[in-house]
Amino acid sequence: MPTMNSLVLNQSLSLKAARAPVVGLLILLSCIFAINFGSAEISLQEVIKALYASMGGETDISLVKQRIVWELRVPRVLLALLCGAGLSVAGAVLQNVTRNPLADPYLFGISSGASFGAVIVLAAMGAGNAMLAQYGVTVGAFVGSVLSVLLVISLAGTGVQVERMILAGVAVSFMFSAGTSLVLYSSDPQVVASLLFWTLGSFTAATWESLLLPSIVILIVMMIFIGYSRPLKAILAGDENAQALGLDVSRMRIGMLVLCSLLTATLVANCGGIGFVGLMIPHIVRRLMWREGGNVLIVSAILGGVFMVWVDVLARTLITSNELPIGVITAAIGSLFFLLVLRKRGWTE
Amino acid sequence: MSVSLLEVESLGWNVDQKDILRDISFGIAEGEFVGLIGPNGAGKSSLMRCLYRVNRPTAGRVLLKGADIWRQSAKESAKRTAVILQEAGDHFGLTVREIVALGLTPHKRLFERDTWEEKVRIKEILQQNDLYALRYQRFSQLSGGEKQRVMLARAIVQQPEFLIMDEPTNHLDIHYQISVLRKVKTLGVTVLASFHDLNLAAAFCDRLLVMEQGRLIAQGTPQAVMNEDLLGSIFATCAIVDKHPLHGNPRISYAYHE
Repeated sequence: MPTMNSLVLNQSLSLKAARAPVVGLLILLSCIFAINFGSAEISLQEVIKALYASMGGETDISLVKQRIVWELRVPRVLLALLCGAGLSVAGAVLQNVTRNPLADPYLFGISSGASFGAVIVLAAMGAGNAMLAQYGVTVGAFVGSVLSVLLVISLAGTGVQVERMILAGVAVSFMFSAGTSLVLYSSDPQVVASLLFWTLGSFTAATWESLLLPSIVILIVMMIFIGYSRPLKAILAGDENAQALGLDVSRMRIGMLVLCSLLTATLVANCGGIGFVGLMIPHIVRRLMWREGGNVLIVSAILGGVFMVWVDVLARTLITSNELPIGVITAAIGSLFFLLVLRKRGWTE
Repeated sequence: MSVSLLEVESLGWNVDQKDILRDISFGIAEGEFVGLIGPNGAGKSSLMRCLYRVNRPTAGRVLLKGADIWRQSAKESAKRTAVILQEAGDHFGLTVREIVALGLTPHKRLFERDTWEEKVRIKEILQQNDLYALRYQRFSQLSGGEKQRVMLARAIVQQPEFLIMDEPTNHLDIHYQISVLRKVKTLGVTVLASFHDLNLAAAFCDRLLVMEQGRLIAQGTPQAVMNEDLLGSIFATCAIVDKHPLHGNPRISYAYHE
């Protein structure tokens, strides 16, 4: 029977449906504007022409400008989008499974483990084959992050207790950071310069080829997370409540941690260590949409991706002669953001 | 006696070689409202945890409708058994509606979304439990009585055959103590609830289980179980037990002063 209740529900559903095109437009416009910025002067009109030309259209755009747009800027913007989305989702999931608002890929040593692995590989290979270095670093970052996750899980005790897991994560994180610093300290200056890349983060290495692996990993892991949206919410009710709702809490916690580390490792291998995004974006999203009851994971991915695209624009334009490392900007914005937010009442609830 | 819904067979549970629960056997018939009483540390909560798959028994079996709950998945068991815990937790910023909707969790596969009928049903359950106006409130901002109503609404959404409640009236004022128990009675679901308030237990329960030091030492109707000897020996309390003038079940008047 079409009751009053179902009519009211119907209305709110059509409102939700109207949001999808708006969000899509926001992402598209952000990307096009972001492509517009850079050291070579290329107007917005030329960007659109270049994109059109690259799709096989006929335009009067010069080949140089077309190549700058298509081979340098587009992959770079897409990598920023992927990286922001992936780190934000990893942060949101880790916050849920630990019920800790401070959880992000950094807290569990995933990022520092990945950095350590990447740095070891880079230092060992020196400034050798670039192609080999790309794969070596990805593998190194992944091995490092898996190692850190294994350490954290083995220290987390029976039943994977949240508190022990976080303490173990902090300890493992510091351990790997110390290792990274040691490698940096003992490397020759040329290697150090490229090693700093991993600790501070950058999208300059983006190529169409390097986008493939992160896109596949993010898509697959995202799908799994979305499939598990309901259990991920139920785990917020507490371990015993979640158990009573039919969840296998410890197994799920370990599974999610492994997926988050896979995601983070892939991203760190391609963009280096970028902090604060996984912590900040899910916070804003939870804050913004607590009445909506929508999917925090999806919105975090979108907002995180768009945010990172604009951070990269800042990195390219803040100082004219050089590029700023991404991690420096996200940390600066993130810490300022938290200081402002903490001054407002009700945030900690 | 009608069909048995729950059957507990010589259940034991130990931690670090220490026996917490020993040789516990009892049954609960379909539709029965059973109270679990006993002094602090008697093992009431530990026993209940064995029934909703948090504590794995080290001896004996727990059968729900003839099936061993420890031989099925957590999800399978959660489809039949709902739990209202004593400590509700803070739910990390979830809203009332979100928590109530969590009751669907065991009935849903991965990727499955709430159906239209389920959304309408959740809304009706929110309204029936006076929670509709609070649906967008965060759980942590609610009063004790409101929290308890949220947990009850979640359990109703879960559509269980068996409802376990650990101290359902704890922290509630007298009005909500009575209204929560009345509401549960109208659901027609089989209930096992632990109580500290013996008068409430005697008034609402069809049968009582009495625990002491990890053992089940008595079970039966309130009339059969609740007497001055039991209060003296198990609860170390002096009291007079007579007939309640309104409902006829035992009434306990404690001797507060020496």
